[in-house]
Amino acid sequence: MDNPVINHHPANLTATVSGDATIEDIQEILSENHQFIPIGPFDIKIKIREAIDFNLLGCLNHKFGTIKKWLLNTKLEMKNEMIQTGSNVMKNVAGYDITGVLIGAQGSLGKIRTATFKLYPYKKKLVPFISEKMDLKTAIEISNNFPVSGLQVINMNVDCYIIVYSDEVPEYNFIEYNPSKIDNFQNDIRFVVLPSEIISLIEKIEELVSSFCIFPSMGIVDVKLRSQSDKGRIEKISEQGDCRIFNISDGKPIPRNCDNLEYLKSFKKLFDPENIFPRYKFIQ
Amino acid sequence: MLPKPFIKELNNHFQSGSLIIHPDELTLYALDGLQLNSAIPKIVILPESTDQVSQIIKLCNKYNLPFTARGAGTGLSGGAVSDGGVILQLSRMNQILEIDIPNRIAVVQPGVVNVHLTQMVREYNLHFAPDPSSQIVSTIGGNNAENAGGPHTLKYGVTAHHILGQKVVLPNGSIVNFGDKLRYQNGFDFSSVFTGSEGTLGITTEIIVELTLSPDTVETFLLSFDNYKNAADMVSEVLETGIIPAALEFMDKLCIKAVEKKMKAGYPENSEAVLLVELDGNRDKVQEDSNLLLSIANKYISNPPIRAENKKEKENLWKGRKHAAGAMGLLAPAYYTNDGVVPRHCLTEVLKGIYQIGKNYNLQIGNLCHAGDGNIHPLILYDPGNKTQVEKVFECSAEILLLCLNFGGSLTGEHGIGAEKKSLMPRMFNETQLSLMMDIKNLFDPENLSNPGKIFPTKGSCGELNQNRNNVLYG
Repeated sequence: MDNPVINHHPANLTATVSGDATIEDIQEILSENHQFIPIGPFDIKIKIREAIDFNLLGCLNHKFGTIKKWLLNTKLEMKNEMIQTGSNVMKNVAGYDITGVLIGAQGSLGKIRTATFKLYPYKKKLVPFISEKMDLKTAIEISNNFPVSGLQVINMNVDCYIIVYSDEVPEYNFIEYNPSKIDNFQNDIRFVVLPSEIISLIEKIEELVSSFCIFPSMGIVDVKLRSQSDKGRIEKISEQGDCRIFNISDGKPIPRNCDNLEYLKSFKKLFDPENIFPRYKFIQ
Repeated sequence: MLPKPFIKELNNHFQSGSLIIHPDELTLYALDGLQLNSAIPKIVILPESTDQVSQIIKLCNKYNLPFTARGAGTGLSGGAVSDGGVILQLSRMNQILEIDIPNRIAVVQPGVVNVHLTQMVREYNLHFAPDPSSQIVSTIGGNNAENAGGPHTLKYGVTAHHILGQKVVLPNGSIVNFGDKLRYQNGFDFSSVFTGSEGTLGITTEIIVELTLSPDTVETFLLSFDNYKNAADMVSEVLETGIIPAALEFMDKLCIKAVEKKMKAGYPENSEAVLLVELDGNRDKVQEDSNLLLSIANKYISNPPIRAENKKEKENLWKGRKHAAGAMGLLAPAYYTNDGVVPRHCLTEVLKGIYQIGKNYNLQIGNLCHAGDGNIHPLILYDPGNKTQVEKVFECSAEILLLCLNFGGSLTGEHGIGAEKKSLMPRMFNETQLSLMMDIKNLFDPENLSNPGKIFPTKGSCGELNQNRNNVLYG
């Protein structure tokens, strides 16, 4: 296997990493220079390619945004050839943004062999903290005005907690904790709504879900269903207002009418005329 | 000549005040910010809605006429110029359609001036983060088409990072939505492809943008140096130390001279270079970073650092930076703005190379850089009346861009390829990469009607630009 970090320029705050490397391994190496890719945190087994293919995000998005903000370039394996999709510099508007379109494309346009990221420097490493118990409304209110690096609201047995990755102990009685208990949550469905609609969404779905996990600034609510048979009811709820839902297991959006379907199909063909790479689930 | 039935059909849909066909008036649309390239459109139409844009494009298809969208015309790569086609001047589509404060979202038409949006939301402690130097006139539609940057890109990202979705009229006249108000997408992000596509894939008629919380505290410093290398070296050290300033701007001696001649911004004229550094965030963090910044600066600076003590002083320091390019007009009859990008740690070497190239061509070059991003803007001074010198300007600019490529950089960081740099595209991209991009163009615009002649090299594209250039300078 390639080295997790193929090229690291601390003074340029960029690193080119292997698509097969786990984020855990990459961050470990970058930390020697007090730098990191400010995405995640994810399950330790997640490869960087998977994070890009499925546009994964963790609570660091609260301050740092999604992968789109940090990915500069990839080496993409297409049929019989590799192409660079961008440039390893901070800004590049030459031609079309092919790198951006790979994020969330589920690997259907090619296989990402390497990825070049902007890095973020830190003086003190971010560590996880958990808040005291609170109700959902308070948790959302606090999270809206919270000047920290990463933030996520977790519901466990009715009570809510805020998880924070920060370089200092946050206010509101936070304590350091081991995140493994939380990370093992297996959710079924991801709702994406406007951030202001989170509480109202949860009021609509709470009797159908056993737990949830919220990324407040993104308007994301991941839920575990009490019963898989409630999926139909959940889908109905999602049809009201600005709302999108995904099956978390495969990143597959729940099908809706899509006026761009023909363009999606043709776009895939440009990259993968022989359908070598996995089909994008939405256009199967 | 435009086909008469085309004019007739336009007249059925549009009032006469929305159509410009008089040759004298058309010359106003012959240029954008790239003064070395001109071309006259056959007609300029001023639509007021998405439906009208769609109607025009359908007519263009019917009569096989190329079309080009235009905002404020401040672009610097000749992207908003049409040679014998139809210009859709979008300045009447200037409405802010929605501001959603709780969700920090605005929906705007493309003709909204960048800074107007920030002015509208300032009372809520929000702003629209992309801030190109032209922001007091340039439009968000234009910013989207070029994926504009600006001094604060270093911390806040480029235009693409602040766009959630857009309504686009495709080159066949159909109206589609790419993205929406929701912040998380999974699937092909066509909005990313359209942002920065320079109007070659269709015309964006509504843009959903994300608004950014304004910082509690802002500190602005001007640091001066007796050697440009010290300034460039300090840029790397600042970033490596763990400070991400909101802005980190470099100006060299020639720029300082021009700024002070024009407006007395307080830049030390005895300096070889200055860095304008802005730190923002919460008060404690800014204080901590300021102390660290100044301790690093002590190793490099030649004069005591200048710290803006109040809003007026801060505005004055920024005024110098924002007007530096324009001030060059006081040093020479004309200047040409180059736009390349290099890895930040190569800045010193690249600046050295640029000064050498200037010497080789016997041209004066002032260097402005968004140094924190490695985005260079060499300003090449010239006399438009001196034909030989004008020829040299193009060659000199191309050589600088090739230097950027040699350092692993890019042909453009924020001005776009336009008509200006298309002949250099094969120097940055190989055949497979270019073919893929052309296939994308062909997918959305099979008739090649949407802003043709931009981005992609065409046979003899250098010659075309030279010809257009002569129209301006010697015509």
